[in-house]
Formats: sequence, C-alpha cells, structure tokens
Amino acid sequence: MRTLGRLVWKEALVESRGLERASTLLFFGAAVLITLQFALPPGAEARPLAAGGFAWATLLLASMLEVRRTFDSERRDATLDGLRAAPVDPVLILSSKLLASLVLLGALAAVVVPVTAVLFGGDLTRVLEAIGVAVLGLVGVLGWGLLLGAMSGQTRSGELVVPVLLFGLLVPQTIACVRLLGHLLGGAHLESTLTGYVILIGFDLVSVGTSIVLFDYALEE
Amino acid sequence: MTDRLPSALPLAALVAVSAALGLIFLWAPTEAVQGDVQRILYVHVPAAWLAYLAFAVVAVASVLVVASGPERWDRVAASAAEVGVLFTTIVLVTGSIWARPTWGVWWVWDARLTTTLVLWAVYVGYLLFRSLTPPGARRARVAAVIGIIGAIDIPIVHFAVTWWNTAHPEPTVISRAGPQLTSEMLTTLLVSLAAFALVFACLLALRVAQMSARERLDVLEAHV
Amino acid sequence: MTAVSLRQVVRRYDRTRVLDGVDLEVPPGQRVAVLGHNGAGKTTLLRLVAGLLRPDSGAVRVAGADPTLPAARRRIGVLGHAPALYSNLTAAENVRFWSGLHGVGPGEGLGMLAGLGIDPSDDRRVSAFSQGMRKRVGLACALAHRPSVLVLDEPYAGLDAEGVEAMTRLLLGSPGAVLMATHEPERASSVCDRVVELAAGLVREA
Repeated sequence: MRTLGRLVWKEALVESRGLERASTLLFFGAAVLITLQFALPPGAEARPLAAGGFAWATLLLASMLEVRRTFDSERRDATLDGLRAAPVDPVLILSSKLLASLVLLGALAAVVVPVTAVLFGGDLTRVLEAIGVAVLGLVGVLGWGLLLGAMSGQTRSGELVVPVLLFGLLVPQTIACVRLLGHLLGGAHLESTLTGYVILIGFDLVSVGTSIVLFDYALEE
Repeated sequence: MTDRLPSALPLAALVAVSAALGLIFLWAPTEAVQGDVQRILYVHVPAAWLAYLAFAVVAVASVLVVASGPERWDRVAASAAEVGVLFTTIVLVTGSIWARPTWGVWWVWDARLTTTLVLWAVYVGYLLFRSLTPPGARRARVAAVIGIIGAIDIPIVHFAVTWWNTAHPEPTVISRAGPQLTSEMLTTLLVSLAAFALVFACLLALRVAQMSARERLDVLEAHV
Repeated sequence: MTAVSLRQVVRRYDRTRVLDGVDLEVPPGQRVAVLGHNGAGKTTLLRLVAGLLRPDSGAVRVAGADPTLPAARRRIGVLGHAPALYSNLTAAENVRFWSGLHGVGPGEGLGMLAGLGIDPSDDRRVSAFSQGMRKRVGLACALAHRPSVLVLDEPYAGLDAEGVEAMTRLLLGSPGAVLMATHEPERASSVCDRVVELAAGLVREA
C-alpha cells in the first residue's frame, strides 16, 4: 500500500512539474469538441441527443493520447526499466498509472461533460450522474488502454498498437456510455439504465482484471 | 517434422466444395418468401460459424503462447486469425448481398451484423499490427495478449450491441434464418458446413506450414 | 552462497544466440568487470542479473534467489547505460523515490549524492544536468539501499575526471559484489578484482 502511495505520488509530482499532459488533454478535448459540432447542421433537434455521443468521443480520443504518453515518458527517461528492476510488484505499477490517469481524465470529464451539454443544448439537471458515468467508462478504457500502451514501446510499429486496436475493443464501453450519457444529457429514451450500468461496470472489471493478470507478461522482453 | 500438407486434405476439401455447390445450385429447393437469393445463406451461415471457430483457435493458441512459449503456437494464432478475417469478410459481403434484395438496403446496424463488423475490425487490427512488426518473440508476445483480450471482448460486444439494438428495431419483420428449414435445405447447409470446415482446415494447415518454412529460411539466411 | 550465479544461461535475441551457455560465479564482495566489444551481449548479461530479462534456458541467481521476483530485487542495485531518473524531478527527489521503493529512508542516498559532488539541496531538475552528473545521481540511487549486488552498465561512460574519481571511490568502498560491463580494459583491471570476457556467447576469464 505504501509502495502504491509512493508510485502515485511520483506520478502526481512528475505531472505537476510539467503540467504538459493536463494542458494538452484539455486543449485536445476542446479541439475535438469544436470539430465534432460541425458534424451536425446548425439548429438541429438532434443536437441534445448527440451531446452524449460527442462527449464520449472526446474523452475516448483523449484517453488514447494519455495511455501512450504515460508510458512514453517513462521510456524516454529509462525509468520503466528502473521500476521493473525495483522490488515492486508490476501490478502496483499498473495501478498507480491507472489512478493517476483516471484523476487526469476524470478532471477532463468534469469539464467536457457539462460543456458539451451546454454547447449542444442539453440538460444539466443530471450532470453529476453523467460525469460519474463518464468516469466509470474511463476506468474500462484505461484497463486495456494501459496494457496496450505498455506494450506499444516493445515494437517498432508500436505507436499504431493503441489506436488501431483499442477502438474496436472498447465498443461495449462506448455503447454503454453513449446510451447512458444520451439519456442523462439529451433526454434520449432508455427503458432501463440498469443494463447500461451492468455493461459499464462489468467491462471495467473484465478490462482491469485481465490487465492485472497480463501486465507483467506484457512488460517482459 | 514435415511441412507438407497431407494431400488428402485439399482433395477432400475440393470434393466437398464441389458437392456443396452442386447441392446449393441444383438440388436445394427455392425458398418460398426470399427466392433464390436465400441460397447465399448456405455460404453465409457456415462462414459465420467457422469465423467464430477461427477466433476461438486464436484465443486458445494465444493462451498457449503465454503459457508455453511462442514458437509453434504463435504461428497457429496468426494463421487462424488470417482465416478468420477471410471468413468474416465473406460473412459481411454475403450478408450485404442477401440484405439488398431482401431488406432493400446493403447494410443495417442490427445486432449480429454490427458485432461481426466489430469482430472484423479487431482482428484486422491484430493482423495489421503483426504485418507492421518484425517477426520475433516480442511480436508474438504482444499478439498473444491482443488475441486473448480480443476473444474475451467478443461476447461482451455481442451483449452490448444486442442491448443497443433494442432501441433500433428492424423496419422489416423478416428474420435471418427465415421460416422452417426443409430437410433438403438442412442437408445442403450441413454439406456446405462440412465443405467450409475442410477448407478452413486446409487453409490453416497451409499457412502454418508456410510460416514454419519461412522461419526456417530466415534462420538459414541469418547464418549465411 | 554466491552473490551472482549464472549456470548454462542461454538468451536469444530474435534468431541469434546472444548468450550461448554462459557460466559465471561471483563470490560476495568480489568486483568483476565484463569486457566485450559492442554487441557482444554485455548489456543482455547485466539485464539478466538485474531481473529485467528471463533466460531462455539455464538459471540466474542473485544471492540465491531468482532476480525476476520482486522480493529478490531488494538486494540488487542497478545503474543502466542511461540512468533511470525522472527528468522533471530534482536529484534529491529521485533519490527519495528510488530509495523509498527499496524500503529505506533517503538519508544514505542523499549523503552519497553529496559524496559524489551533487548538492542535495539543488532544486534544478535532473533534465538540466549533464550526462556525467546524471550518472552520479543514478549511482546514488543504486547504492542508497546498500545492495549486496551492484550491476553497472558502462558506468564510466560520459564522466569527467572528477566523476571518474568519485565513481571509483564509491565502487572501491562498496562492500557488495559488483558486476560491471565496460569496454575499457585498463579501467576494468584498475577497479575490479577480476576481469572476464564475453565473446561468441560465452564468458571466459581474461
């Protein structure tokens, strides 16, 4: 537990010095959202309904950046080797990265979700629950995203691994998040939110669980 | 160990495919509602079943790569993925050809088609990654992890897509399999399935043998 | 119990057998230099001892334990070719972090920093340091937890005269076993008790 604390503290310290990741993600999120809003004709009734989908698309793309960057910086500094050579369970390395990235992306979600709702004429009454849904969705994204991100440095075409593979694998999470967010922000009809939450949390457990099992193997050379 | 294909296998596949084609076009009755276009389902349905079998092979072989090392099982996983993507492409194309006269559109986002498309995308990504990475233990290891999480993902995708699809009921009422299969139709389907299974086995064995030969050639070249 | 033991270790890199049945025993406290030309496999050998690689066959043991297990790595200190340092953190912060992972307080490591000519209160980030200074910080991090086995990959590369002197002083004063890769034979024999050579995948006494 102390080791996990140390690792998370290190992530926070490194990030706070540069703030490069946080600011890049924020600007990237804004750029994506502005671009996507042109996908709809102005004044369309579909706009509130699209809010959920566009919010999730923005967060998904930001996550892709994040999972690669968190490992790229470790590789640049040769500190990934240092962590592997230290008496640290690899699962703790994964966990610390998951927590740190979740804090970063969660903060982004706390901005993107309400802003999207506002920009697309959506409903803000359940925005807190919507942010919660987005954060739950991000846990599942980070589970497999970090696993692939860890492996992306292993091979020459590594930078392709994350984007090429992750989108398809995350379809269930995308479906669950978009439907729930569409319902919460845009008033889209949904008989039962329960199934959506089941998929969301189930995916989180599977994604994080399998990553924990495979992470050490994925880091091996 | 010989890399040669047992010659009985391609021969048996050829015979089975010829028999299946004969049955499909000459013997199976024309379906009352859908007409002759229904015959494409004798290709579509077996291709779908075998595509899933192929990806199951990828999953098992990937687990074996993790458990006991990449040498042999990596080749099996890669070959099965190739055959699986081929069959999935057949499923998507034949599905579209069937859908156009039947539903009036080339594509609908129904649960099964959407899941198949996602499946196709995941394994094309798998093959793309493999083709862009130099061969070796690292590629095998990364591919094995992708093979495992891909396989775990597919049932979740199916469940999620089915749920998503309940918000988008199909405009027409026709179900995929149509009304009851007559015994001739069932026989044709089974023969077609056997033919596809033999083609599957043939292609898999051929690709594994080719990859094995390629690796031995690489070793020899490295020593020259 | 030997400090480092390699028995018939084979390690392939793609098609080539980089290590082809290496046998090496290092008694506790002995300083061993591993000579070899570029590409001979020195780094591979050191990474096996540090627990970063697994052998394809054979056995690697450090203080009797498998170095790929986290617990066994408490006894190992590693200084790679590029020191593992967070560029955005200061020297002291790096020392605190790495010694904390080994379960020790930063006192020892900060003292070593000073001994190596780095001011622990220097609040510049490590990214501003020269290669030689980064090496010294890396060495402090590697030694802070008093490892019984020290694994060093070309530790003198990029060091100025002052750095060389400080490095040598620390190495000679370290009680643990040392396994050091270098391509400088004179350095090897001046610092180490024993010199071996890695060539054609095998280790022999030089």
